[in-house]
Amino acid sequence: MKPKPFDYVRVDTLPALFSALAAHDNAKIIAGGQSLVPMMNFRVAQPEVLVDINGVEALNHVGRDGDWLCIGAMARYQDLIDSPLVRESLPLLSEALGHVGYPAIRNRGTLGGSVVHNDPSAEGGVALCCLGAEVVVASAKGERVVPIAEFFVTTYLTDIAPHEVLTEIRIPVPLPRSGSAFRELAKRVGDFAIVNVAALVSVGAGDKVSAVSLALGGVAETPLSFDVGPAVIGHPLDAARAAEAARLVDALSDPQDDNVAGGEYKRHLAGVLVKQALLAAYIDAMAKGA
Amino acid sequence: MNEAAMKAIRVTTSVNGTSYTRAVEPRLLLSDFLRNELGLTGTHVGCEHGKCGACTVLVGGRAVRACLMFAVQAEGKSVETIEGLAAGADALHPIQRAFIDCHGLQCGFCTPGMINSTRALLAANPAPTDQEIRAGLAGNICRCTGYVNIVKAVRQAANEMRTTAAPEGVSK
Amino acid sequence: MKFEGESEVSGTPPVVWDALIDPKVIERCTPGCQSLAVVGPDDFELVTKIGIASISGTYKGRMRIAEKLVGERYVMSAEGAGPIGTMSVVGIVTLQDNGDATRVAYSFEATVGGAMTGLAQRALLPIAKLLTKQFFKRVEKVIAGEDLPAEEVGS
Repeated sequence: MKPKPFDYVRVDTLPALFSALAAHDNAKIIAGGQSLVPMMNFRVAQPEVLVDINGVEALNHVGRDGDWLCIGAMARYQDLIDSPLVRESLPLLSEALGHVGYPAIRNRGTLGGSVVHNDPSAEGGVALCCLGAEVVVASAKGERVVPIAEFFVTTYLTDIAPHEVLTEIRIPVPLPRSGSAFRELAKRVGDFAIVNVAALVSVGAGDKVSAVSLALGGVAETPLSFDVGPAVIGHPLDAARAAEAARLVDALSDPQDDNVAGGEYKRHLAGVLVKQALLAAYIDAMAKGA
Repeated sequence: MNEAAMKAIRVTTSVNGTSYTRAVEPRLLLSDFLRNELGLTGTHVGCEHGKCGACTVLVGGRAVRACLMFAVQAEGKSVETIEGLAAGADALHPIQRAFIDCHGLQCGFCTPGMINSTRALLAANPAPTDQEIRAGLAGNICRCTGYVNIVKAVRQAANEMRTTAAPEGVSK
Repeated sequence: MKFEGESEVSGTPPVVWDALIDPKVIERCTPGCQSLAVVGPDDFELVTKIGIASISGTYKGRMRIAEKLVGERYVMSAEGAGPIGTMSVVGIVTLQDNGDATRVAYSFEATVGGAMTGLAQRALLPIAKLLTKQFFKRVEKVIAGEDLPAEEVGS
């Protein structure tokens, strides 16, 4: 059906945004709208005022800041996928975002919007958890920086207040001899993932794993990191170690049934994808040479 | 009348090269604006949550879901619908010709969105493999054809567009 | 689907029990509750307005309390419906003495349905869990005679 009537305000700057949010109760920011508008069309979301930030140029940037990559909240998925800077610095993010929806969704949808929306299997959220990102949340009174894992409270709920806006996502660039891999299964290319896995592996002397980071989507209320260090750190990563890591994840997760798949199926799928992703990330790291 | 409905907003947008100015409710979707305000009914409305692709149009040269944009958000932008694709009644675009030649449509409901997504696909990747065609069009659902002839049509269009000098205005 | 959890509520079991089955307390403590009508003994109809993150709208619910073992446990069944879909739960609420406080544990079977998009269905259980946590926090404040905050996390 169609959305309920609402008032509409377009803003081009952050100060204008804060004024608009202060002036209206039940105001909702619209960025790409690829998650919000479906909810409005089904009347699951009924904001009384929509504040459109698509014109806020200050939020649409991608740049390097020392050892960090800084992505503005309004950066569109497709622009990030096409960005040579992102592909070079954060290949895991490029790979993950390629799985988001379909071209039409990626042309409008934003990574910032996805992070605030917080779907349990959002590719962006899963990759950002794996990468140890942090987000910058701003209001008229100033800014605060929140680690991504703390920002994700529960399904569709994040640590952001109605008068605040996510302005930037900051991601530490992985160490030189690091490899990554993203694996996902969905019924149709571009559908919501049933389960997805992001893996980042660093390799040191003797081809031994020196650091590992793993995050999964679809097995909990939000994208979630899992510590598989005990299973793989200090050794080359072979099938047996990958299987041990998968067992660790299995012990720590409790996927629920939903309309797409049963909990047991998701558990099985997580095991398969964790092994695939870890091994692929290790091979990727090894290929980067000593 | 509903108080909010009376707070109409003037929007000026270019559709298929022609500028239109209308007063619309903020909640009017771009898909409904094109169909009901402008009478351009080639853009079809299917699922209204971005999954079926029937409403796919080009905005600023990029494929977007018209059902997930509000008309007021098209202010100052250029929109291309299926109606703007053919140069004239006897001058169909290679993609349109290919869909006819290869029987890539039956009821036609998915077709405008399918063609717009094809435009975008071929602009980004002028020589896609079958796998790339299927992945690139995964966001467009067809209930009639089983997709086989759609893939054939896209292949034919890609071949023709690569071998002729036909200019393609779509940037993405 | 399982929907279970527990909350510590300050107050002895008899005091907490009285609060939990009191329709006036239920009305004050259910987040967003606009009205509660007693349609029969331990049988209530509620209208709530939800505003959590993007999700907002008016939801109608029916709640029944049964098989009461005073001060210790009861069976609760509830159904709710609104724009996001429908949800029904049935299960047991138990109260355990924990010094100055009572440990309230709930274990429900939940069925979710009716929603048009998977998007909405994914949210129902986590939202229900969040609202349940908020409910018990508010019950604690009511028992302590404190004022209830107007705003909750996420709304």
